[in-house]
Amino acid sequence: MSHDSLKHLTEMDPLTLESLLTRYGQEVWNYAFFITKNRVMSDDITQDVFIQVYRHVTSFRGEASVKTWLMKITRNISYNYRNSAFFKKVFLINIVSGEHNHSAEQSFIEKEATNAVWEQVFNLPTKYREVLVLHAKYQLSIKEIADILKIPQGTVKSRLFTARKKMSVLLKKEEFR
Amino acid sequence: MKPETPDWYKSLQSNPLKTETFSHQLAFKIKSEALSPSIKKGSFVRRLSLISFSILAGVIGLMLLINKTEVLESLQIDVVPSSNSSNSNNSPVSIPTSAAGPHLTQPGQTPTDEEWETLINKNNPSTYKEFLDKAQINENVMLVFSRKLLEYKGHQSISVGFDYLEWTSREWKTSQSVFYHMRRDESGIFYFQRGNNKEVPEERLITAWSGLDNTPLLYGMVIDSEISQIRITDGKQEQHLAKIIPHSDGYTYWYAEMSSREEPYTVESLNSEGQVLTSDVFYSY
Repeated sequence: MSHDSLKHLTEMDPLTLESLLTRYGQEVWNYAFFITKNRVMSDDITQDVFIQVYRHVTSFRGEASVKTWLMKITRNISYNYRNSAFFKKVFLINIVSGEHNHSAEQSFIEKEATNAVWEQVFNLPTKYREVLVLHAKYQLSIKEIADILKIPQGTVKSRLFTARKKMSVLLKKEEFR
Repeated sequence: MKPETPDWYKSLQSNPLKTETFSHQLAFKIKSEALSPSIKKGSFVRRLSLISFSILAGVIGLMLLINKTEVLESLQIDVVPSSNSSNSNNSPVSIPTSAAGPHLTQPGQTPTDEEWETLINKNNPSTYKEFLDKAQINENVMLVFSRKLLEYKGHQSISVGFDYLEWTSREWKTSQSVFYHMRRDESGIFYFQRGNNKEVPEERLITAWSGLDNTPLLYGMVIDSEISQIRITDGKQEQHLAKIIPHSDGYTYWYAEMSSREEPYTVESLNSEGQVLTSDVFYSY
């Protein structure tokens, strides 16, 4: 089902919601997880994203693809969670110390990552991880990524360059382990 | 020059995790939540409203033929409840009937606060919304800020939120609305429900964020009496002051409508000396 017609909707029907969940549910969840590295929170964010979309389908103007629109909403809600007092209080151990500490979620990623490349992606700092994932996994263009992250295209390119460089180093280290 | 993609890019085409993370259970939960009547009214309800309205219009027309002098009185009493599709027995609803007059549907006249309250309660008088304030977006759009008292999970809760009313060439109609729950426990602590039914205790400032049409909204409740001002700094570093509304119920509500999306929004509460007491960053959706 094409979702182009969403831009003409003033109210979303349950079937369209179902179709969006089937098509993009996992992608939205994954993106939330790339940002938060927390499963419980990714569940919550996914729920919030689709409820927002269901309630406010009129905010989709058709200027970008449905996928880009959903990614943008997911990112905003994920950062809201990250920045909220709730996040700071409840997920302090898992996230704030996140990038370097060996948290429960980090162990989960090591155990559950599909392959070594994914495992290393999760070791990247968020700003590099995000741009790399949007490019490599979601196959978005530089322009679309810039639109989602609200940064200039030049910054996207430079972050992507650094992310790949860091990945090469990490993967080389992995080889010699 | 387009740089070649590294070989390891293709490894990123797979799902990042082995286990299924977006489960059927989660999808079901989302659907149930989204379709919950408290969030969105289905088109069935609208159709029913339309039918009720048509029947009423027919009855009024008949009355016009019978006795012109009784018409206005009939309108005063019946117009509002008839638009409530769930109230099929025509019993009077608990709203001020004086505000439900036909003048609400005349162009060029701005309804009074009492009339706005009537309008926002037109479709759902069972959970009565009490008018707190209004903000005009343009001559055809009005945001009405209100609160509802509810029983939620065995406890009293307060919901605050907005109705987005549009002038439809004949009348003011709520086109969208958004409300947030805040539960109060026995010890007086307020809990703010966020996301997936998770409740967070809050002792200073409750902030909800949402958006209706293209208007980002930040709003909530002031818990800490030391807070005398709420300042919002948008993504362009422009500052806005929220409107703070002390209520006779002893609680203080607040809101700020942003003219356009300029994220992120930093919400700071300040004491009377201008000292920042709390600070949080929000993005609209």
